[in-house]
Amino acid sequence: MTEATGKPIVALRDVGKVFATGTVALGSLNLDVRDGEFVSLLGPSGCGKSTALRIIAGLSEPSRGTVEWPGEEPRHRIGFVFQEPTLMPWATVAGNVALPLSLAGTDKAAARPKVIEALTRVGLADFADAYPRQLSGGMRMRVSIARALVTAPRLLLMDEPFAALDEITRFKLNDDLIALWRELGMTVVFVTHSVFESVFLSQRIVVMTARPGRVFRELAIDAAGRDARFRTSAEYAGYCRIASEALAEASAVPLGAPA
Amino acid sequence: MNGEQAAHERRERVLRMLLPVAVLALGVLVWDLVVRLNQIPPYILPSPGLVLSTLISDWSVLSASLLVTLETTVQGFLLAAVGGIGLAVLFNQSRLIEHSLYPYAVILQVTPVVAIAPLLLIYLPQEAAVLVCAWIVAFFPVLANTTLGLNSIDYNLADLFRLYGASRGQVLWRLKLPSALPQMLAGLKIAGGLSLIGAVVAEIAAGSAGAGSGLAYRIAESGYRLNIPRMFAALLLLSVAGIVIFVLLSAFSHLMLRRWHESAVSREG
Repeated sequence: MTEATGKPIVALRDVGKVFATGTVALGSLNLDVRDGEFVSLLGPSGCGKSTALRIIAGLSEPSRGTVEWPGEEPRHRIGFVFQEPTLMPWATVAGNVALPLSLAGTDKAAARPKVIEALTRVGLADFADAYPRQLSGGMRMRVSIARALVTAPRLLLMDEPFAALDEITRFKLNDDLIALWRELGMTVVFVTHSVFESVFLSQRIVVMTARPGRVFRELAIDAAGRDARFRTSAEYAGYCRIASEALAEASAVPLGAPA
Repeated sequence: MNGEQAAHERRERVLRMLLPVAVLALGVLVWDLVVRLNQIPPYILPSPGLVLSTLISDWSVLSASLLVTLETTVQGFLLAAVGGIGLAVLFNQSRLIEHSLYPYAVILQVTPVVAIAPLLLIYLPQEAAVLVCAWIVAFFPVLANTTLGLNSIDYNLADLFRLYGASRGQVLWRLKLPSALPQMLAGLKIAGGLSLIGAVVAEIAAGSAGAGSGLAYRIAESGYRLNIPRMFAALLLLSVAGIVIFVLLSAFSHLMLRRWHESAVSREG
């Protein structure tokens, strides 16, 4: 079902997660993320897709199974974008974007060009000295993306980043994200519960089941042009139908049954 | 519509400034009339004019006392700020220390300082005792508010700091303390007024004469001598000092938060 686009950058092997409350967030997840691909984790709420992302990022330890990094340096080349913009309200846009660099000990002057470059990529170079509260929701999310990009990550993890935005803003950010992915050649793991978003963005969709979360089916999206025309094409609609059906099936799997 | 609205807002602002002044003027007028019409002697209730003239004639005594009280207040406040914030940070860094010491901070707070003051005066030199009283009353709101602020950080931001390998010091200095700043400042605002109260309570309890006698001592002393106008004048100075402390701390808080915090940002539209 899946095409080999490159060697894996990170692989989850039989990863399970049980929270202290006894909730089984992840059953047994096997997932290869290949270098340079754009993969979406699609599933109903409670399927553990965010947990999987946090485990990849090292923010959460798996209860069992392993996370393998076949390449070299794992964690410090990760960018993470949360569902909320998660900006420091007391710092300027530039200060927020510079955070990963300054935490690593880069001095301000050396960080500044990288910060401006990242802000330029998301179209916010003019807002470097603004404070987050002065920006709209979409602009704050752009700042959040710029902050994730500032370390030039090989792997960008995004946890439903556009879920809280209006549709027009979301479409625009989807377009921009595709452009950034093409331009920067990074790997993106994108968590979403939106069929339309996942089809539009991804080369590969991993559909997950809920309670406990595991992979239900993988879908390859082999469409070349990801632009406004693609969004209204029959091809796009066809993929959306397939993905919707897969999601509906995944949601209908009775609790505890094998996928 | 817009001009009308602006005019309305301006009228409201002027009203907000004028009304308290009008109430004050009315109060003073009634006070004056009551004293005059009933021919109340000044040793029972002095007229506002007499209080004012006493304030001027006794200025050298009163201003010296004011300085003494203010010095205690400021020192108590600074110690409370350092102690409160320091303890809050310490509690935040170590559960063990928090669980060991927090109950005693609460005990210090709930025991009325009026009751502690006489004991402190026995064990400590008067100036130190007064200072300790001001500190005891003022440090708790700083501690409680700062603790609240340090504990209510954005967990996603905390994750982000972890992801980028932030050290403990970086998390404290760059995430927790800025997050806690609004609550910390709210605590300091309360502490400013309370340290004045603490200083006054301790001075009253001290009661003994001495070169370094504060305003509260003047009030007590004037009471014994039935110098009621001077009591009023000293009281007036204490109130003004309290108001000035509050205004200064509010301005400081606004200055610190005006760029980013909702409480200090005026909303447009």
